[in-house]
Amino acid sequence: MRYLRPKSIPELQEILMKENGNDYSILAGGTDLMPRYRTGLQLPEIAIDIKILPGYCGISEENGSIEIGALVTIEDIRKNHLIQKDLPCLSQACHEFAGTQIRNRATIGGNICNASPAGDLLPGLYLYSAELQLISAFGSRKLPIEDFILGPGKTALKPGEILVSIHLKNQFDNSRFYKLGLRQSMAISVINYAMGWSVVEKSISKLAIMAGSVAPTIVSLDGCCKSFLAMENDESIAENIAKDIFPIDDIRATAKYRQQVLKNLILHDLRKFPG
Amino acid sequence: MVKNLLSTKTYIGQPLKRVDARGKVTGETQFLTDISVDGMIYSAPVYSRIPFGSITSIDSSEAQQSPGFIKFISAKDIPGENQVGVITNDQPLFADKTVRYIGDSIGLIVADNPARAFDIAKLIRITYTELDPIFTIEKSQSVTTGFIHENNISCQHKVIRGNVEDAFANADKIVEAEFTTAEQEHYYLEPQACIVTPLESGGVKILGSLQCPFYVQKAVSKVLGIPFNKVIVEQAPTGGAFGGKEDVPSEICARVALAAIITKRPVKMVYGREDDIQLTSKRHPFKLKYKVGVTDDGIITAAEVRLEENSGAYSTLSSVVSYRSAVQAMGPYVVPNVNIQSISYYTNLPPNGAFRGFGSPQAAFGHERMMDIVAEKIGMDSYSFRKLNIIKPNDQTITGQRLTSSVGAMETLKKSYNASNWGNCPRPQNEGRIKTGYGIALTHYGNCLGAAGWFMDGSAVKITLHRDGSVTVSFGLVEMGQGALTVVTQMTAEAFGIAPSRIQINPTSTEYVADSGPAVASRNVIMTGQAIINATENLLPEIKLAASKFLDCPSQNIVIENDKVTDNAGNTHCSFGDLTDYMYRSNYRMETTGWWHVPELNFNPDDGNGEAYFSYSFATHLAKVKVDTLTGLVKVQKVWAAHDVGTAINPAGIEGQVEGGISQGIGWAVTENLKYNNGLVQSQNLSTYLLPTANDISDVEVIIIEEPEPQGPWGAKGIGEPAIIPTGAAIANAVSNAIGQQVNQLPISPEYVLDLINQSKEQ
Ligand SMILES: Cc1cc2nc3c(=O)[nH]c(=O)nc-3n(C[C@H](O)[C@H](O)[C@H](O)COP(=O)(O)OP(=O)(O)OC[C@H]3O[C@@H](n4cnc5c(N)ncnc54)[C@H](O)[C@@H]3O)c2cc1C
Repeated sequence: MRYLRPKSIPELQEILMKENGNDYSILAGGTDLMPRYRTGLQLPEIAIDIKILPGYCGISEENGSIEIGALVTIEDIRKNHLIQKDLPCLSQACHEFAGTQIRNRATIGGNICNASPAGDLLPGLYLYSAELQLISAFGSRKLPIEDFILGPGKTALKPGEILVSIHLKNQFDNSRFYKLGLRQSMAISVINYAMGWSVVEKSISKLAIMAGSVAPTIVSLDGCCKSFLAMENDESIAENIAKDIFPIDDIRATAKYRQQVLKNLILHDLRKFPG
Repeated sequence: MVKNLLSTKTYIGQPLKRVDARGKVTGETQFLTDISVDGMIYSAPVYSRIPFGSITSIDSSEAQQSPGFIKFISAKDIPGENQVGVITNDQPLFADKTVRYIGDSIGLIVADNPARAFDIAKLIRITYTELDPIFTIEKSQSVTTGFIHENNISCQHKVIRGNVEDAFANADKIVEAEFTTAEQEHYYLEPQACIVTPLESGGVKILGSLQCPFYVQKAVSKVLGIPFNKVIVEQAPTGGAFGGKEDVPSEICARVALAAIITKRPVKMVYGREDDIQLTSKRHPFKLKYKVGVTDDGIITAAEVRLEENSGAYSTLSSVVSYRSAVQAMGPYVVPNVNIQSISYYTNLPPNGAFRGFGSPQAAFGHERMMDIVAEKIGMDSYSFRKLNIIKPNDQTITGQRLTSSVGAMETLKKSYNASNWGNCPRPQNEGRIKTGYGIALTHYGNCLGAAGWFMDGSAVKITLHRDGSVTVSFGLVEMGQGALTVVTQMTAEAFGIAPSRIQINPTSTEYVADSGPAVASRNVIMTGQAIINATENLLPEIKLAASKFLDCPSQNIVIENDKVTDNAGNTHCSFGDLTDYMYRSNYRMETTGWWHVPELNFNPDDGNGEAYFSYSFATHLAKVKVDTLTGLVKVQKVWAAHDVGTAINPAGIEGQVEGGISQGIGWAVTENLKYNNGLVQSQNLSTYLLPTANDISDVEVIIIEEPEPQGPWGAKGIGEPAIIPTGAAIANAVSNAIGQQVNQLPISPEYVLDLINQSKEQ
């Protein structure tokens, strides 16, 4: 395997041009990539390490929108006050993410590009309408996250393209993240979700729930939210949750369990709302 | 002499810091992966990829073409016997006809580097005629052809006493229940590993990560067809074992030894995690069926118990597991009439074998769940019901063994119950989302090998005095993380009356002492401690004689204590170093050996009556759990763990064992869940085999109870296994208490808990 580590964007672009069509992987924190290499499943000929590219490891705010560089680590997001205040689902997700060592290496860009249905940052990113900035030797483009993630491990990333930053805006007065793993830490989510809501005159005016690990990609529980806002009963809300999701059996849990737990937790959350 | 020796207690009972702590904390300790030998080459296992079948061909031509290939070794290369079964001769070193599980060894690749060895091993082409594989106890019992061995029963034991039929007929209530428990992977941090160097003698020197050097010696001698004295086995610092390195290293070392002999070069093998978990033993899954008769006032009169164990492809140590679970099947309670059957069945899974507790945690799950279920049926609380039936001094166990001393069961029950304050807690409200529950579980663990292994229950030490007053000790059991080196140091210091800092312990090697049996069954403190006392007694008269000459006083005046040699009557004294220097110069004996074997046991295997073990450790675990009724997740909050250890040699070591045992018990009961698909392990590593993390383990309050054991050194008994035995049962009882439904299986997965909660809603 060849290992390349560009120090600047022009250098990266040159490499990407040259290696276009070759078998390469972008390497950020490596916390998804390295375990895969180890099992010998996906050993690319070339690893392009982007960790020391300048300019993509900061968090900033402009006009009420927050920008996070793709190379920002989970630990840095967890500790960031701006995020804690404005994008609580992200800091909560980072808080429950793996353990300290992994959090110090893993990046937000890796979490997005890995496109795992269980990725812990994803529900929050969907909730906050994340827009992804992609660049390549031929220019740049911006995509909403739901158009970027196409399926488990599948993204709209084109050959020669990388993710450089994420732009977020929280449209909700309140939001929170929930993760269920089979241990208290170092666990991949069996289900996770981000919930956002706004209250006007003591009643919920706006509600969205983005759920992970219950379908090939993050799903927005639209039917459930509509049902709740229409003040339907628990049964019909539960039915709507069931309609929104497509869980599967895997080594961590059965589809039946995922379905039931998501329903239990969301009904429990909704019951606490006024109205 | 013994009495005199035992009366002083200077170093015993002190929380001496672990003597091996520094190296392990700093990383200076060299484990096998760190060690290399000049000219060393590497090997990797070639194993069956199907669960059951016969081999039709083995083709190594592609492997032979690979760069780095040195040798392919298989059954036809074995000079001695192709047999490594530890108790039953049912396990070939290399399968040549039949393969019985995915991972069954067929050969070994030797190559010039480790990665290549593992890659080349995959190039050996093997064809099979596949047979219908058996994975469950039910199928193993029911098939009438296609047996895994001559038949599918791996071993069985029973205990029959009194008359259960009559007792059931006269009982006020009869309560029945069935339970299951799952596999557990040892998950020692260091995988299986060894280096074998061929010797000029025609023998081999083995350095291995292992628990039982004398097992390895015997296995290698048999496979190579050379005498024991040409097989030198030394234990390398070992990164955890828990029973997983009891018998398994015998086969691994024997294969590598064969490679070393054939290639005439040192050969190393270290398993990768995924191979280790697929190829090596686990804790036996059990099916447990209980029927208990009881009077209306809560006295147990009879028990009929059927234990069925999934032994996997080979019997390995199933026999010990089946024996132990049978004689401990009703726990530390008096039950005059019993019919207990424990049967182990072959299946096409990796062999299930030795694992901390040897069937006791499974049996404890059965009898302790049963105690709660019966108590509830007769309207008693689980504490009072246990108190009523618990074994006390001069009571008999279910095998009819009268226990006269060191019976701390009641103390452990009372102390843990009082410490938990459960009795004074208002019944938890348990209305909301999170429900709290408490559960008690007990064990009486038979120390050492018991009647089934009595013939090999002896251990040796050798103690050498140097002229400068330093001392070297060799013992036949091992340090594997449990703190053996530290307690052996303390016991030697106590026996001689000298400072622990004078004492250095040799790595365990077959070269230094005689076969001391296996380092299992919580036997190190008892066996090595008694052997140290014996060794000291053998030399002390000579030391005192020398001291009396040196200090010019009668030898009965000599006292060696607190690292000082004193004339009791006069005022003279000297240092131990001055004395040993004098001894050396005056040609006194500077070396002693010691030996101890357990007392003879009167036991009848035909009906399981008699003395099953010479001594028992008792323990109560009281667990407090919280159950999330929305998700089914169980969090063990605290365990109050009271252990009757006889005498605490090192209280800090005991705390460490108990905290570790409980953590491992939480793993078995709650988070760990080994999954197979057609005999292939699915949860191959830590991302899916969920060992508890620091956040998943509970607070532990260790309560040490000392009911001295007359046959134990300074009164001590074993702690290593009792530390895990009651944990799973206590948690299951606590979860049952929290949700008001009977937990009848381990692991207590969130999915299972949620199902139980749904059932209670439907009721
Ligand atoms: C022990 C352990 C625990 C874990 N726990 C969790 C957890 O609790 N929650 C969770 O969600 N995940 C968890 N993970 C998964 C992993 O840590 C995360 O998905 C992490 O965010 C990946 O980031 P990375 O920088 O390490 O990605 P990498 O491994 O470097 O890359 C992942 C993928 O994204 C691509 N990629 C990375 N960055 C870019 C970029 N800027 N542009 C284009 N492509 C890119 C890579 O080519 C690769 O395909 C865990 C992993 C381990 C090993």
